[in-house]
Amino acid sequence: MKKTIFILFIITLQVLFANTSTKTILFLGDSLTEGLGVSKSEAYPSLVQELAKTNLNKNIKAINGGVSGSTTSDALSRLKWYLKRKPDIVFIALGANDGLRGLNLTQSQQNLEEIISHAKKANAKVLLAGMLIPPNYGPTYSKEFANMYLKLKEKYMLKFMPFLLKDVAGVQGLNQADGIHPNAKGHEIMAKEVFKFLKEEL
Amino acid sequence: MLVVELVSKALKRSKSFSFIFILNFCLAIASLSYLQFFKTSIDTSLDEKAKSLLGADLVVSSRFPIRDIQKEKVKALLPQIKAYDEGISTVSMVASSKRARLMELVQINEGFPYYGGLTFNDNSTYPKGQTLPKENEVWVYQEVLDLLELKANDTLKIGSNDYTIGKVIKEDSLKNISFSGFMPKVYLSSEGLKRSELLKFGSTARYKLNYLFEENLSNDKLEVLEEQIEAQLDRTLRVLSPNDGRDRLIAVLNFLTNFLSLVSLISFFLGLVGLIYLYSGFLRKHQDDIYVLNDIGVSKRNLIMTYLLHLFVLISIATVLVFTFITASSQFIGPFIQKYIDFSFDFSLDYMFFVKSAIVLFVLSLSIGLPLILPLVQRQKRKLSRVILSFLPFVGFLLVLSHFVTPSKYIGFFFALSVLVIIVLLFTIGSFLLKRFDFTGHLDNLALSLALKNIIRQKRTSLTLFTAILLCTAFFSLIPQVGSSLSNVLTKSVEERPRFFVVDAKEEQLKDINKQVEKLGAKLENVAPMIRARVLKINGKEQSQKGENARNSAVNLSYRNDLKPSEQIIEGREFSGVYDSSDFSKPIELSVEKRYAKRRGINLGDTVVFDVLGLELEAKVVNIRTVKWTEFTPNFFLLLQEGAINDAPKTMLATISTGEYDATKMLLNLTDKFPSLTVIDVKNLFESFATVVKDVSSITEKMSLYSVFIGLLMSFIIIQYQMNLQKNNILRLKMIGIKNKTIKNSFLLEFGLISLTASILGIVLGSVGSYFISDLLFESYWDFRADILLLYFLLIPILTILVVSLFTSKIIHQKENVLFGE
Repeated sequence: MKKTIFILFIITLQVLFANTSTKTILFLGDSLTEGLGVSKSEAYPSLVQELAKTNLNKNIKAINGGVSGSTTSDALSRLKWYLKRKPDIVFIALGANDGLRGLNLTQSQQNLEEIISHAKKANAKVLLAGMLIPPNYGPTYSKEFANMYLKLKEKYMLKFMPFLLKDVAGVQGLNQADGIHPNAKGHEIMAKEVFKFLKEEL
Repeated sequence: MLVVELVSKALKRSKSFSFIFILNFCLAIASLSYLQFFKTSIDTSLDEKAKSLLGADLVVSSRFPIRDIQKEKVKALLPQIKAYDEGISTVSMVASSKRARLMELVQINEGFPYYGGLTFNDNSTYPKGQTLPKENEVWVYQEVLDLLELKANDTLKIGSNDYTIGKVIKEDSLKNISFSGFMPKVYLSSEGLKRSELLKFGSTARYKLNYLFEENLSNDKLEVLEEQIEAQLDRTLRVLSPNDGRDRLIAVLNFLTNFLSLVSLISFFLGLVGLIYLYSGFLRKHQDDIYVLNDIGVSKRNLIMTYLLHLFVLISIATVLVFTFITASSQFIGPFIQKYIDFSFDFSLDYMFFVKSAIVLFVLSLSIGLPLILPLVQRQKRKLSRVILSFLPFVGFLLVLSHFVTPSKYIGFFFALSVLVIIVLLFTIGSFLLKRFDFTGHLDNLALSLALKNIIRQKRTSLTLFTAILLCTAFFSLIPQVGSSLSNVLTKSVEERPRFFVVDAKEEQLKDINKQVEKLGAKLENVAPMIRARVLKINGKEQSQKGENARNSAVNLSYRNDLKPSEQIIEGREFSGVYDSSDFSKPIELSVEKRYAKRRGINLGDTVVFDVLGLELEAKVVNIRTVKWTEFTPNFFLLLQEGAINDAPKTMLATISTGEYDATKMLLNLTDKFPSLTVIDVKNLFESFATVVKDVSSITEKMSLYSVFIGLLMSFIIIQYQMNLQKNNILRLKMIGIKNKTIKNSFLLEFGLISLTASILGIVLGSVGSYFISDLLFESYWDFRADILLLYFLLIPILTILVVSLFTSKIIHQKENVLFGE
């Protein structure tokens, strides 16, 4: 009897613990995060939420703050909007459109810095996902682009995921016909990588 | 044989009638024939232009390198291939020592494009007359030099290598209207592209297979082929045919050719009024001959054949004359128009056009001749219902013809129908009124008395002349007003079309951007907030968020309280004011664009639920609106009432108009000062379009003048012929001792009264017509031209009086024996 009561106590504790530790993660990004061309439930933020449930038995709330075409410039106002929901973690996956449009990277870096500072001020844990620009943009610009994330990582001492599209970019079977946006399979791989990166924070 | 003999006698005996009839009909069919000829030429030229935009008969493109197995599959689906080319284009940062900009790199191969090509600043061309650029050489657009502050023969950096600017491109037939079309192009050879080492794993590029076929397939056939092939290929391959580019041009030209078609139909109708009037007059004049011939044993069948053949011969002579003129002028007209406007028209003759026209004219003479000839030959007064029935084939023929000469569905048909209805109404109401107004007494003014009696006694003639003048004035006031509305909108849109689109501006940046733009001599306009959202439910029905539906459900919302002048509510009401519920407890008012509403099945009063970045909001459709296509400014399918989502995260869109400022300086200044801003130069996008629109508008104006000229001439032919028929009347009046001056005044009053009343009514009708045509058919603004209306209001009666005065003086002073002799 004592044993049964003890087991029930432990289970209740676990349930209580699980409920109180439900974390809200804001995925602030562009079309890659929004899931352009796939359904919202197939986009990686939703899949990460599912992975947390199945692998860690944790209920997390993933807010998909991705908007197609978004650059670092317009994301700050979106962050302010979503901060009303008090996210515990802000996963920043921005910059791809800045790079693809060949925008000035000094400005992009400044925009990202503002976003990071703002999220930090709101007591959210900031995680940064890096991007790589396709090689055809030229070595100089590609290098500057990659360095932009490294500088941010160092300056704000952020937990950093080097490439959001790792193992997905450039692989025809994992991308849509436009060659840029991952398909459902691509999002599954992205979700696994993001989950691996986030796991410790949950 | 007898029939031929009688026809030849009729022709010989009535030379002046034949001349007037042929002249009248020549003018009537000339504009219609020229228009059809012109339209065919435009079509052919546009087909060629569309092929030049694509560079090939068919293009298969992919964002991934196309594998050999895919190429084989494509080849197996295609007709016999004459030439084949593999092209690549990509985007890259191209740099000078001063700055770097994103540009489109295009690999160019020997012999491609198969249609069109490049023209350089030194007037040399490619592929004719120029070899490919060397490995370390590039050909660039002028914009590349402007943006990088370079000049010809300077070097620029692509990847890690330097390239020399070999040639500067002045014209590029492949300048397409795609997103990459916004970027200035840099052409390089395949060796040059390899040398840049830009294309490796992870690179984004567009790979193209360009095909030229042995058989010369029409663009429509190529479009069918495109659809057939695309259905059988994997989703990564996209097939393009020339019509993909042509549609953008055709949308604009359809407006113009629709208008031109109406103009030519008007000339044709005016001609037909003249034709019916002249021929029925001729038949009435020869009524006695017909009876005599019938009495001496010529069968009715032969008589009908005689007059039908007579009419056919007259129409044929006019047709042959016009066609000969078209054939003769076609050789000169092409170069002439080419010189006049900057668009290469192909004015080669298509003989099918003549065959079709000959058939049309044969049917015309039959359908118009029989109802005019039969009653006279059969010597019996026909019932009104039978008269109407006998004209039905002619009416049907006119409607069918009108339908086929206008490019857009039903425009010609409804136009012709309304003209016919107006004619029927005029005759019915006119006959009724003239019957009721039975003027038998005398007035103190003898001339006026005679004029009124003449009008009433000769109801048919008066009504015909009244209808002819009314239609002329109606068309005169209609053509310039519609033309002016259309040309105003097009020209306005060409001149006032934005030069730059400013994307991704922040709300707080607007003031500074505006200041900067104004400093450089332009204005920031059409500022609009843009908020991303998803449509979740329409009338409570969940909208699928999977696959293609997910793309469709993502929308851009904007908000404002007033509609722009270019927008018009077609159903519902305006917004009630600023949204005032703080907790979204009442639905937000929503305005939906007509075509979008149709596509998504949204109706007035429907509720739509949006997900605005995580917040679910309910909106109610309070109006469906149209947006003018000619605006070329940021427009939104979905507009919300102001005050509801103003706080939502947004980006601002704006435009900078075309103007006298230095566009390159503007672009460089804005992107340097506001690095997060995306400034898109849309000059390239609309340049060729604008040129064609401007040039064809100019032709349209000239065509309108031609139609007005024909109308005037036609009216005076009728007046002159009418005066000739009045010779006996004049003689009678002279014989009973009425003074020449009184006779002359009576005619002036008769024609003046008819002309004045017809002009007033015609101007009103024409203005109403022009409003409906401008507003409904061409989706354009109505340009009320009071100056033109006043001109015609005064001009036509004055000219009529002048012509009548001239002819009456001539006839009135002739000796009685001369008048008898006629």
